[in-house]
Amino acid sequence: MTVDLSGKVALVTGARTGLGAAIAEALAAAGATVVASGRRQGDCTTVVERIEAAGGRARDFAIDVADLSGLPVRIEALAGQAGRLDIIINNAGVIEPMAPVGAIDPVAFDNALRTNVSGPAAIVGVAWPHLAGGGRIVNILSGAAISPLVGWAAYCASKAALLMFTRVADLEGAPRNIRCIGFAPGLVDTDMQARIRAAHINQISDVPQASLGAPQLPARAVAWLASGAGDSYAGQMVDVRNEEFKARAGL
Amino acid sequence: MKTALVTGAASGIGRAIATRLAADGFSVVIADRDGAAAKAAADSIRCRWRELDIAEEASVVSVMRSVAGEGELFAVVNNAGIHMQSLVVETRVDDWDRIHRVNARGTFLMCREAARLMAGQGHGQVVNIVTRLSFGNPFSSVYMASKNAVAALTQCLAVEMAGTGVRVNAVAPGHVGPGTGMEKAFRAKAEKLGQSWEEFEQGVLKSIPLGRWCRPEDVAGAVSWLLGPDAEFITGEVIPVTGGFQAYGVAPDAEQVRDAAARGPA
Repeated sequence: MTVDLSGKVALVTGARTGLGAAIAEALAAAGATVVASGRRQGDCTTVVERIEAAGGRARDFAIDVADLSGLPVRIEALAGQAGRLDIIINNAGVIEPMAPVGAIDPVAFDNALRTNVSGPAAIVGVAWPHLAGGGRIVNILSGAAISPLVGWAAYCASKAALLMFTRVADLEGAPRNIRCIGFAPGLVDTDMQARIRAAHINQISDVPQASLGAPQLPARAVAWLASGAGDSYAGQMVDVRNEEFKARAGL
Repeated sequence: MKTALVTGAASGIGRAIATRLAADGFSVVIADRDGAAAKAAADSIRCRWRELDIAEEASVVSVMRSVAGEGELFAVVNNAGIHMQSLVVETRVDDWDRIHRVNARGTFLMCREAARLMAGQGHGQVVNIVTRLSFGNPFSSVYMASKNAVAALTQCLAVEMAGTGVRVNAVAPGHVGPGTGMEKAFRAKAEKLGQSWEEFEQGVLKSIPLGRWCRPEDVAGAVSWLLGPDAEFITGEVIPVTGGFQAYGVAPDAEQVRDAAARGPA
């Protein structure tokens, strides 16, 4: 299935490596001008170079999603410099702290909520007026948003919160053609999965690296959702392992 | 082209800074409370402009966001400020608040928004214009207190931002003379002291070893240096531009010093 995003500007957070980098490349391959963001300026230089070498358009633009005080002016700067904003992929997130409930560091817990929920919500909020011609927001979620996992209280709680934010944002945005979709990418072979294995904390830690998927498949699914073709999934979470979804997205 | 925003730049020291930075090759944004004056100055220098009231948080936030939307912001020069001359015992709290609202609070707002933006850029500079005359300077307590607040803010912010690639410094002029808001302040001070302008000016010049008023261009030169390639290791500093003026308890008689120097060794 061909996805055409030409003329669109797409922001991908956490695009330095892993799933975020693959999403940035998939969006660029579909014709979008991609703003690849990491915490620091220069984090996404390699991704941008790969996209440009493949004939796509991209730029590196630092956004620290945990820096709630700096987010508004950074997003305004991005929207102004890019001239428009059509697609937001809230991909940046942290898995830490991985600890049993009785051993959770409250500051680390709060940091997870800030990075995984408050930051993405702030990005959407500041970008909202710039999505003048409508927009597609894909929030990267996880099965952890609806299923409890031992040792992952912070991650599960944050993803559950981001799922509910997704539902509210879509409820408010739909009349303006701003659609918000939650997407569970499955178990992908990234740095985050390596940290999960090293933590030996639950059944996800036990999944061998060989069983993990490449990030390109879920990245293509995100590009398809960003095109509006998957709007029937807006306001909810769709899992990449959903057979109907895979068929429709041409995966 | 690197963008530099200068506040209070429609006239006086700010305009000299804007003119110098434009000559240095910066893409300058003149920001001033008086929009028409900002536009006129910008037309003459051929640069961008914004109406900006640093006393209003909404104005600061919106101007910084809109300038950020036009590209990376290399530098913010916080020059805008207001003054008054009055003894502490005759100062109304409303006047204290009015001066601090602009000079201290307004500069804080500009610094905060610049820091928020520049941290993400991974580089940037803030230069605050303060004063070297903030010692026991009669009639100037409110102004000097507000400028000392900015000097402290400068150093705290410099340390906070040191890991981000953003540098923060201040330029502290001495007696800035003709054609500036400072001159108006000095004229008011002369009046308070019961001196004629000539008498007052003579006293000022005697205290300056280099024997003349500080010009707006002298301040602009220091800002230009701070923003240039030779000042990359400079942060958290307050750079005096005073013609050799020092805060002695009793002002040195510069004329006598010059005469002695001219006579050579005894």
